[in-house]
Amino acid sequence: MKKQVSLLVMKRLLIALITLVIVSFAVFSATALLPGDTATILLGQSATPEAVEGLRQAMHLNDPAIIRFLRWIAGLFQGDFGKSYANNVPVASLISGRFVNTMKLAGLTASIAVPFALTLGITSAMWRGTMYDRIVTIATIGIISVPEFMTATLAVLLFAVYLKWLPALSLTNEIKSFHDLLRIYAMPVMTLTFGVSAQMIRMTRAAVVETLNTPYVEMALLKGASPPRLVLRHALPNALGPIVNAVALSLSYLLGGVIIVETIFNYPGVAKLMVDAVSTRDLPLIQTCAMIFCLGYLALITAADIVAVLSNPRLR
Amino acid sequence: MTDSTSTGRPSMRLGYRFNLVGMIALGIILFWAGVAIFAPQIIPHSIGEIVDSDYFGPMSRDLWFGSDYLGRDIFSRILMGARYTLGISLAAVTIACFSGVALGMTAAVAGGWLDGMLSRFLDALNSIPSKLFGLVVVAAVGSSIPALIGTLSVIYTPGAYRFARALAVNVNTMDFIVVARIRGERLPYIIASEILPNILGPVLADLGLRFVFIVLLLSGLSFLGLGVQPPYADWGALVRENIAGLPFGAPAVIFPSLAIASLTISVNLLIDNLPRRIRDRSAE
Amino acid sequence: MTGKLVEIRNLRVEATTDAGRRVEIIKGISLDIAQGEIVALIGESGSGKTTIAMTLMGYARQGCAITGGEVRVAGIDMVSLSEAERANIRGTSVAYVPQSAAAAFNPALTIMDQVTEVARIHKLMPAAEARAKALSLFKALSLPEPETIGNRYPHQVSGGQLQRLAAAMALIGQPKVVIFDEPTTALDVTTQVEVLRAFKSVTAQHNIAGVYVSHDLAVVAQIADRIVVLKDGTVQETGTTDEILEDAQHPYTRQLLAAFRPRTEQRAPDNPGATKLPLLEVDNLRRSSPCSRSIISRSVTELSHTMGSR
Repeated sequence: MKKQVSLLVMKRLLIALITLVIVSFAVFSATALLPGDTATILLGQSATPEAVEGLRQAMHLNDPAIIRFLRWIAGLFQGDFGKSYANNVPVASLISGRFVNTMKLAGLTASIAVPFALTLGITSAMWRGTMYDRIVTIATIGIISVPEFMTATLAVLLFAVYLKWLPALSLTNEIKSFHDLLRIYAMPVMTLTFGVSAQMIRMTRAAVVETLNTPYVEMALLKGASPPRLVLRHALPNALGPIVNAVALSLSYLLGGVIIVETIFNYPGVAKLMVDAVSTRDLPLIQTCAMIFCLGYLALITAADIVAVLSNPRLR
Repeated sequence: MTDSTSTGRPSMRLGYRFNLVGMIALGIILFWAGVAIFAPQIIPHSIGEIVDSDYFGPMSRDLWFGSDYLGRDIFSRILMGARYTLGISLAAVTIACFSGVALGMTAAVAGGWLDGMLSRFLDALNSIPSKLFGLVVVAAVGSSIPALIGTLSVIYTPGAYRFARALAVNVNTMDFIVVARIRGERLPYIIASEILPNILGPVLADLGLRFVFIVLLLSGLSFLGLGVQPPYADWGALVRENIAGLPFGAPAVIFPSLAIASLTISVNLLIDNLPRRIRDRSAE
Repeated sequence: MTGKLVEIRNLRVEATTDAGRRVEIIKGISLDIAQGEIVALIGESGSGKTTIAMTLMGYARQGCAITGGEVRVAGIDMVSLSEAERANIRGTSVAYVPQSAAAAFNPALTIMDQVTEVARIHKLMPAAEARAKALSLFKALSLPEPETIGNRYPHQVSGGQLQRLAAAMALIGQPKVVIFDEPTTALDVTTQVEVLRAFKSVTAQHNIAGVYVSHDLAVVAQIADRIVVLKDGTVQETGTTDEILEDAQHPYTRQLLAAFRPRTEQRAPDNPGATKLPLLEVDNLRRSSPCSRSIISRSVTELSHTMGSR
């Protein structure tokens, strides 16, 4: 049985790897498709044709696409992410600090969102049909259906404008105390948490409700089991796989939400860096940021897949 | 089971049953569709005209939603913006679902290496987070309206493909398909006349869902400044323009968001409250 | 009041259809079961037999509700109890053996865990004693490897074994009434016989009353003392097994019986006027299809067959 399990896991990892290759090729081709010649853009319109040609040679822009792609990949492995067009500094130095910031944001959000969402998801499944469940369902559907910037603007309106509890902008340089930390991170984390939790709550609830509708839970009911027992002892062990799957998938929503939140709150993270890079068409920066995001997303999705595979009790 | 006393309401002539929520949702959607079509005729003020000397003005009898960051009537701009939000999203979702369903059905029926390749490739595309994909492609091909429609279609085709393929595979294994093959029916006929009618209901529901995703993504991109470009403005762009009004609680920032929310929530509600017969027509 | 173990009076159950209509599916049924007696509820699908059996636990499936009448088990009316009170009765006074044991066992928990669960829920006996009792039930039900079977998971055990394990699960609380809900339908004939024999011996041993739900008269004939024939939520006829099988009164009962008579008695007499010509003759039929993956074209390329008239 162990062999079968490790085989399935290996298969998933292989698929993830192949997907990564395809995705990186897609990212590369999308960014390399720029109309207008890169060398001309860098040197400006007044550059001489020889200078442009020289730069093209130096940047290997005349090589066939596949060679350029492989060269780029090789560079990634060696830690050479290229130089930003806009700032002419290595991309790596631009990204590293911001990456840490985004990780802080994501980590804080996850550590709050996951327990919160799991509790709400499981309890609303336990008490499905009640007013509590209905309120939770309406709230989560509402949050999922609207754009993230709407939840962000409404949160800012409520907490910064009307209640004046928190500042609307994030300036991470000014953290002098824990109180400061709270005030600055609170809004972005809260906004992100709403979005991520809403997804997680719906998926968790669905997973638990699905296990509660099974014949074996009915059988336990017919043995006289109480509702908490039904959920905790009978449903949860079977819903665990789908729930972890839901957690991983919801966390992948962080990747999208963080783009909006960092922009709205001016938070100095990798997502905001990428948005700025797109505005300035800064290729190497865009490519690297995109790869980081795709990697993170793939990692989460693959983890979710593997958990789903491993949680099948028939593999024991 | 024999019916003794029937206490249900009489069903509508078509044999379908709509409930109140579904009807309200449908109403809102039709309202916005009408607005999008007739916008130029019904806006009270021209969208470029500065009507208020005070910017971010409050709601008043003349300016129903107040004024924007330049003093223009936000209500008119929202009505006009409906054209872009709805138009672009509708175009994109139609292309995405059309291609997705066509590819999905073909892959399901043809099977073999074609199915494998298509699925592998489209699954890979699906593993790129949609906002990111949007950002990267916009960086490459720009934000013109055709480019946006194309980008959005490409992003959401894999999802439509996967869904349609799963449905078609399900239907493909059913006995009446086997019977059709024995009869000697050709592949295109089987796809068009045997499989398609049976997956149409759920596919339409999926179309609705995808429409919501596209509206949200388009609005997000516009909000980041990478979607619809000035002088045109869709609802997301309107929020972006007026974001400076947020600290003042200006209505100009809120109402475009509310417009988006009304559209997306209505579509979601409509799908959830579709008559069961349409929604669940495929075998599970 | 007749002092029987189970007394059902004027039971009414309503179901709500998907479209929202309410339909009465059990229409005022009355029924008695004595201690140690096995009563079979037979009828076609939709006749209400499982619904009635489940009311003995005060339980109605999703979308159904008990709307009238009394269901007395050992004097207590299940209909009037609260949900928590009903939970106390389930597993202790009335137990249930499901139609599909494979579905009724939780795939994530061990068999022993689930068989002894009733003892844990209702705090009937300490864990060690419960395990010992389970063991003795396994042996009484002729299960293989009784010492170790409890440590397995449900998917590691065969269908027939699971059905008997479900019976053990029902008996561990020493119930007065056990509901057998078509428990042998999913099994092949030889396993059926084994399982039925096990049920019969164990219920006789402990003087347990049984409600046996089935549509299979052959099975019922082996195990039931009395038979109740149901159709559309009403009782058509009741009587002892012998009475029903040999001398059924009601036309519906007769119809049911006729469907189960062995084929030898039903063969139509030879028609002397029939010709000997074949009815359909197929010779060298070849079938080709443009779709090479068609299962039909691969397996049937030549077909020759002759069908004669009966």
